Amino acid sequence: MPENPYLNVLLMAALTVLFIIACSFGLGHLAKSIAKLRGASPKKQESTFAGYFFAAPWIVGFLIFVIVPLGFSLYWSFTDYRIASGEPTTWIGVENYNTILFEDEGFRASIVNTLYLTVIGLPLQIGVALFLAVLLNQKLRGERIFRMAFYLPVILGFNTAVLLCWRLMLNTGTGIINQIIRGVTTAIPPLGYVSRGLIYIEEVSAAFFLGLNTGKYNLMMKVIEAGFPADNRVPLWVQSPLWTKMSVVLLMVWGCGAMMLIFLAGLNNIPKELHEAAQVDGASPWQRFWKISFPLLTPYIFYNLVVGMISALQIFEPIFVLYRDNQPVVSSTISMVYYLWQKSFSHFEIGYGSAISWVILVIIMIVTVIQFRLQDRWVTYDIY
Amino acid sequence: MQKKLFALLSLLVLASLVLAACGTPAATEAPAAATEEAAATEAPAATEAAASGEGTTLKIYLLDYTPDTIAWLKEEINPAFEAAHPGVTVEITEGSWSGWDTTFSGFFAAGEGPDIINLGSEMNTLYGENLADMEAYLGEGAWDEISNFGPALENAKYEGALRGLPIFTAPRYVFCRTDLMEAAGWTTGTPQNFADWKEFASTASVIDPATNSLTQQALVPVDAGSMADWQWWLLVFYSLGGELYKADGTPNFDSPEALAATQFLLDMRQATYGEAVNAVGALPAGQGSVIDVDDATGKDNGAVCLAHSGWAAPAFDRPTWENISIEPFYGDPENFPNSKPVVLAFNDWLAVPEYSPNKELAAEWLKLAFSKEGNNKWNETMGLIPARNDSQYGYVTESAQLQREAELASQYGVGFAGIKEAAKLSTIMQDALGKLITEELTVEEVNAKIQEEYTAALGQ
Amino acid sequence: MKKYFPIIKSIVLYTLLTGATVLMSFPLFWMISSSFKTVEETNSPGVVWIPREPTVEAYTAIFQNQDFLRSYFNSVFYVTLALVGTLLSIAAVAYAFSRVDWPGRNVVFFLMLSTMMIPPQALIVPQYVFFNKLDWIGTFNPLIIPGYFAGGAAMIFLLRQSMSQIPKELDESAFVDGANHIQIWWEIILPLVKAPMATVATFLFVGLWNSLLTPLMYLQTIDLYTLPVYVSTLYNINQTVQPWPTIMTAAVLTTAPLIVVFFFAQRFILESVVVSGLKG
Repeated sequence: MPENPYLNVLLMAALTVLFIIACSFGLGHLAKSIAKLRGASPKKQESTFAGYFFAAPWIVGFLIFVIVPLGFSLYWSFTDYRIASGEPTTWIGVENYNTILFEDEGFRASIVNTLYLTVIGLPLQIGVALFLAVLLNQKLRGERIFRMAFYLPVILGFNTAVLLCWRLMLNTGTGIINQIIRGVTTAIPPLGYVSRGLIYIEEVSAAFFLGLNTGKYNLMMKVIEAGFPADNRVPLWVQSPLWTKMSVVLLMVWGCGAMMLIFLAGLNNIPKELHEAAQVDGASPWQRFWKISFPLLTPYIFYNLVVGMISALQIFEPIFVLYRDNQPVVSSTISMVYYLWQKSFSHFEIGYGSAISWVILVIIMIVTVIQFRLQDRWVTYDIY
Repeated sequence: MQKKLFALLSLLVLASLVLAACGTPAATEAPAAATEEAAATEAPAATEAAASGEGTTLKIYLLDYTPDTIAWLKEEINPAFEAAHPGVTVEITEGSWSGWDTTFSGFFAAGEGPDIINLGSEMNTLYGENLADMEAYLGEGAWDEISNFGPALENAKYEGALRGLPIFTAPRYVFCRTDLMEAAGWTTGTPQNFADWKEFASTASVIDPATNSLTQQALVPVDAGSMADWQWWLLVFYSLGGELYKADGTPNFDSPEALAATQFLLDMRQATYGEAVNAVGALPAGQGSVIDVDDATGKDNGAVCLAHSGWAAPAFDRPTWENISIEPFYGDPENFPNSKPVVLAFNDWLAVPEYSPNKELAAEWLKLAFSKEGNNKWNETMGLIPARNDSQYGYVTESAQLQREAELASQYGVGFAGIKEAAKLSTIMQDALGKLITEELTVEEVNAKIQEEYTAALGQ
Repeated sequence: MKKYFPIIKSIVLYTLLTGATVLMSFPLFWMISSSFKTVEETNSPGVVWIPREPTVEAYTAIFQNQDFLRSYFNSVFYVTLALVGTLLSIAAVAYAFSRVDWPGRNVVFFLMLSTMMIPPQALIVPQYVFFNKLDWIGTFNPLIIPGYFAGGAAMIFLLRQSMSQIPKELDESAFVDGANHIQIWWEIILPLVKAPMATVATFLFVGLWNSLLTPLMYLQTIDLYTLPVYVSTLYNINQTVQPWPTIMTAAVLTTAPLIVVFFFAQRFILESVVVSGLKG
């Protein structure tokens, strides 16, 4: 193997390509032989060969990079494997799973937090994406620029520099966001009442969720007792446990560009004749949206819901960069995957961490299956 | 016909690849060298007979360095070492602190990696089981210079045995802007007991009603915003004379000192921020030292006192130093007679993992880099205090601040070592202290929670 | 009054759109603005929207920074190499799922979709141990090679949807003419899905370019670092004063290629999402 890392990897890449081609042929022939044994027609044999030939890269990759690691992970989840402990790993059966499901408060807290993000963040994300898509669909000039601006956050991604920017902007006293809020509410006093009302509602609901974490609601009581916020109150964003989740929701909504593109595509797919016919019949834009656009958009809403839900359940980066060095508030915002990471890499409990990852996997699967089952009730694929 | 040829060819390629893959780990040397100088050799792991080492590579993974440090190591230490040990090459990897835990778990999980790794002070119990016992190479009988190392040496031990050597000692002092103190009407200097601290906090903290946030904060302890950091708690606790573990090894969070420490944290928080429901905003996000003056605007960054390491304080050449005092944290002698002034010291160190096949070579390299001059030079490039007492000359004495820091460290230094399951304790404490400042839990409840969870984490 | 309605509507729409744009692109604006400030200015407690004395010193400094330039090259190198291989293998696999009928196809397809649900953090440790056995730690291999096995279920799905739209008659007539699958794939199908392929390439590019955790774990030496990893090292907790202009400059230079690529690719993206359709 050459020492130069660039040559090394180029060589490996070439070897890999050869390896894959070899596997493709091998797998294809194997499948073909099996088909032959089962008495398939020559045409069928050919397509069996072709199918496995072309799908081989994924199949082989799946075996090597998914099945094998998952296998290890499953095995470890039944042990008390710890890195750097020097003790031999012992088989402890379902003890890890028991602890996680019934005794671990930390994991329960992470489920509640993730639930908050999913229940509150996801609808907001989808709603804003839909709203923006409708706006863009009005066929205005400069549409391209706006479209790019809205998709920009997705491109920027949750990389370190951008998230550091957000930390600066979300500072309570001097951050841009709060300055804008202060500016707007001082200029238009009625909005000040609205803002304070929203702050109150947010804090009570956040305190409620925090109470779910621990089973004690005294924080919620305190917030309710404190009454309507004073007039110089602004959101505390990353500083207080009552606002940490909302900050993450803010980031989720900021990154809704991908969903918006899907909705735009969906709106584009609606035949113009439907709208024109409705207009002739005298329907208002509002009615037209709800009776025509919305039902035809349901497949797209469904797609965004499924993909968005999986993303939300797996959320990690924003929480990591925003809160990693502000430990006291972490428990108010820790997500399931962050908890997994903490157990595996901070506490070095690989066995326990593996069990957690399997629990998360099962949760995600169940949720997705439920969504697919429910789709018949509300998703319309063909209206005519 | 063509198809058959293809199939045969692919089988051949497959077979050869499999053979190659099996052969590769044994035959070749590991990944490309990091440095321009090192021409990494192609040898399997060396045996313990390192002195006759035929083509051995000593791999060192560093996290605490500046470009000057690396330059010095490559120009002076490594050549000297390689000359003294023919056939041995030294390879230095410059790592980064971000994601250290993932990187280290990789090494230990794989049972392979660098021969010397750069650890933080609280990591001796974390990785202790997997670190090599270096007493035979660096201990008292083997290396007489070891007696020159100060209290920082404790951080490099696990279960009484030395596992490596500490590079520097970075204690946490209380830095105070004397001019701001006087401007706020506080004339007695750095507070020396809890009652004074609380009064100082309410006197010198200023909240701007327009933005409902702090514009001046009397004390910024370790972690600015929350004032609920676990290291801050430990500093207070130790200053009261507290011991983290009872005689039987169980945690001591139900002791009067522990309760007083938690109460103090709450009092300080409330004296600064007011009640939790007031939702006062924190100082602006940390950019530049909080006790320094901003050159562009001429305004202060907002803190009067700072309880943190030297690296959170301004650079030594800043004019603000004329008005900054350096003190330890004095505890509460009035209520706790066992109180003592404390500077909680973080001592990063270089450790030798158990998996390393080059322990003796590693020890030799450490002796070279940590000689009296070596330790001095290393820390000079970083502006920190050497772990060796006899290395505290030159740049240390030339700077008034460093000298004062070194004196305080040798007098009052308390290491951040011997904390079992430090990572878990950190999470448990941060979680509980976070609920303290939101007033979700009372002081007694917080301590009870920590006691219970930590005892469980220790498996007792 | 009714005559003015369209005008009012436009004004309202434009206001809303502009407002949303401002909010969305704020961090980018802030990043760019900060990269032109001096260090003192970024450290000021107040908010400075536009630098009083814009300076390009951060930019000149960074272009002289060897580590930065090398990490830029590393990023370009690894992304290109990974992209080419991944794209081709995804195209191959998508073909299998869409144009060929073979036993077990549905099962494998479902398996593929379900891999989307596995949290990546769960696989990190086992994969690390595996790569360690191959002696690939500290090289680019773990970042590039797995992609060659058609990594990325969502992308396969997207491409498969697009390929399904192509009429089957094309294949059949090609068969009649004596072509085999490989020729059909390369000469007929692929040219027809250029737009979706461009989309997939763009998404892959963004993902690879921004990737932080995997490079951090596997590239352990600074000379191999890719851009995101390098930028994250600039923020050093051991320092009193963070070099914000440097960090922001590095961030701007990191995101610039993404914006350029997306600007050219957005036409394709929208087109292919429309074409692929999401029914059923």
